[in-house]
Amino acid sequence: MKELEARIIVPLEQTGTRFKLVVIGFMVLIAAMFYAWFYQITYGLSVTGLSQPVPWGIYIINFVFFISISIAGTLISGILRLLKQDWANPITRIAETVTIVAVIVAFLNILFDIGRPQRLFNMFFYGQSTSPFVWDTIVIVVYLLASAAYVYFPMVPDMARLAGKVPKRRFIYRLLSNGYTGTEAQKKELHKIIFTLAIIVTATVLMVHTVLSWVFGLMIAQPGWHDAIMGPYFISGALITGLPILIIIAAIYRKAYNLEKWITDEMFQKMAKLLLVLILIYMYMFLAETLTADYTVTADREPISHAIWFGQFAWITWPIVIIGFFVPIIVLTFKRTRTYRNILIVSGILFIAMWAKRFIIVVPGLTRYLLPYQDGIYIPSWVEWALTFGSMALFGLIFAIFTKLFPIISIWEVEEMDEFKEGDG
Amino acid sequence: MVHHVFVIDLARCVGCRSCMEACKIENNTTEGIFWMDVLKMEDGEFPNVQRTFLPRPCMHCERPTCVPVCPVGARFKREDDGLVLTDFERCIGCRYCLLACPYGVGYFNWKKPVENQYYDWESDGVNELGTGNVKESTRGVLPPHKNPDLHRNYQGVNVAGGSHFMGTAEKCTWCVQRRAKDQSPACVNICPMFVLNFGDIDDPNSKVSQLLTERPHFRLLEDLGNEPNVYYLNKTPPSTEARNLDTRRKPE
Repeated sequence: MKELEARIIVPLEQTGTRFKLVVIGFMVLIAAMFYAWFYQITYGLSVTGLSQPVPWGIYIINFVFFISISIAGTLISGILRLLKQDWANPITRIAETVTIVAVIVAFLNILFDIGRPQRLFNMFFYGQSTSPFVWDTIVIVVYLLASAAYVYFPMVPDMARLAGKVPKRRFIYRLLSNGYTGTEAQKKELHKIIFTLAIIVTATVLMVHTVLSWVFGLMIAQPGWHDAIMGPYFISGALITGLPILIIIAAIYRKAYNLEKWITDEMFQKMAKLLLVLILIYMYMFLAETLTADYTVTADREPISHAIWFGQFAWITWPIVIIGFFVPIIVLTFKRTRTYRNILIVSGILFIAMWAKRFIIVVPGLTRYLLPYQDGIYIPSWVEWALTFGSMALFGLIFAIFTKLFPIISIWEVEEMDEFKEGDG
Repeated sequence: MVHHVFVIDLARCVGCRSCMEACKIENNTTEGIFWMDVLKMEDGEFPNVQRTFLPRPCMHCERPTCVPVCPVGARFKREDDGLVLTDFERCIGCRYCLLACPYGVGYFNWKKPVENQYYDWESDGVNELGTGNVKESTRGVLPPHKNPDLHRNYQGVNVAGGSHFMGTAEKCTWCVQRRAKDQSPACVNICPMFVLNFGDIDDPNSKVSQLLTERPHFRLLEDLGNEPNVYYLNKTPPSTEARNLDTRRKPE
């Protein structure tokens, strides 16, 4: 285990050129994002592609997308921990960090979206219990706090351990270790806390995605959204958005910090199988939703269905279904095609496909009114794209900085896992 | 308690859109925003084509779907007269109310309001008023762009939308500033064909009550349960097949 510790300390103490280049790349995108945001605040939302019939666009899509990514952490570190699946232990910390960073970036996208960001605090002063937006804010805040605690507590033993070994960060590690020395009583207490938190985050994650779906599903004026299946549909959609991104990030760390011994090929195989099952569940939901809405269409829904499958948006829908879902299912099903490289390619495909799927969920319904008005069109402007890529870069940057501050693999948990295995065998 | 309603006689409407003009002058709404809108529609297939007009103010519903979704309570139904209004100093601009309204009456201030937005005051060339520059055409009279009544608070709340704050949602107020003086909305006053009627439905002798007892009428999208307060005098609502004839561009 000394070996893992040595590997983990390296990125905390040294910074390579490649890392600096990546950070500079992110910084450039983030600078563009701030410029675009400043421009938008000065001239109003008229600089976006949003207009009267389509008042919600890719900021809301990004919000839903990043909130979806955040499920990855809870899936791997919460749900799998409760199911006693400890094969994922080496990436639990990466996973939980994904959760927090994704929620923060999602919140930023809400700031981009609203017309008067400086009044956001009105939510706390005048919050209305009837608004799905307020419910959503409450569950997301609870989720963020629970997840932050859930990153922190499993990190305590590592902090105590590394305090003496990384002189640069000694002060902060000692502070965060909070007097932990590794006695039996402390260990027992810590396990109890982590277990309780696992239950809390698992419960809240279900709430977060369900309530998010209600923001859309409860709108009787939007036949494209008004659907009872939205809750489970959003949860399963989030799972296949979050997991691929976690796979990509884990692969990047594995390569960058030479962690092949701990983040193993076998682990990627397991995640790929899990991903396959989750895609199949999502396909089931997708079919249920599509058939209900589009098999015998109501007069209100008909133009939207037409636009999605044969009209204006067909060029997005069909590639999502064929390349985004069927190709990954085939690739992940057969052992011969389920190679490490293909798993990464499939994850990349799903990353794009699930973003586009959110576009298909949010936008087409908005382009049609119930009364005979003009149909709307929505073409995102450069400002919106700048803010989108900027927020993705911010996601990457916070992640990169995190690796410089804290150990990215939970050393003590991996140790416990190995001890358990040795004792077993 | 009075219960005001709109009664719109579709058989009389010729689609002159004076009501939209009056609304613009009274409420100084910015470009691309039509609190009062007249939908121009075409229905049926050649040779049985019909052209119809549908004036569409805000419905000020009994059960408005835009009110509960507002996260900050900026959209509210006023207790004493049932008007559905917006507190412009509280709205955060999330545009949820625009999506929640089945009638599409919600608007959003995408950009800063401009004085004399419809006229290029300095231009010498051809413009909306014909040829010549605007100053000459209007003999130096500035087109109205600032109604002082809009800048007041009503019952302590900024609901008239005077400054049309960039980044806030807004919609037809049934001229709340004119209601305070017991006048009917601007669109009702100006209509040359007496299409728009405004009055108290609880008073059996009012014109609106009489029209509603005499003539067949309907309300828009009644099955959604919003209970709109705008009645249309006609046998049937416009069909779902009706096509809109307008071309409306997004304001630059």
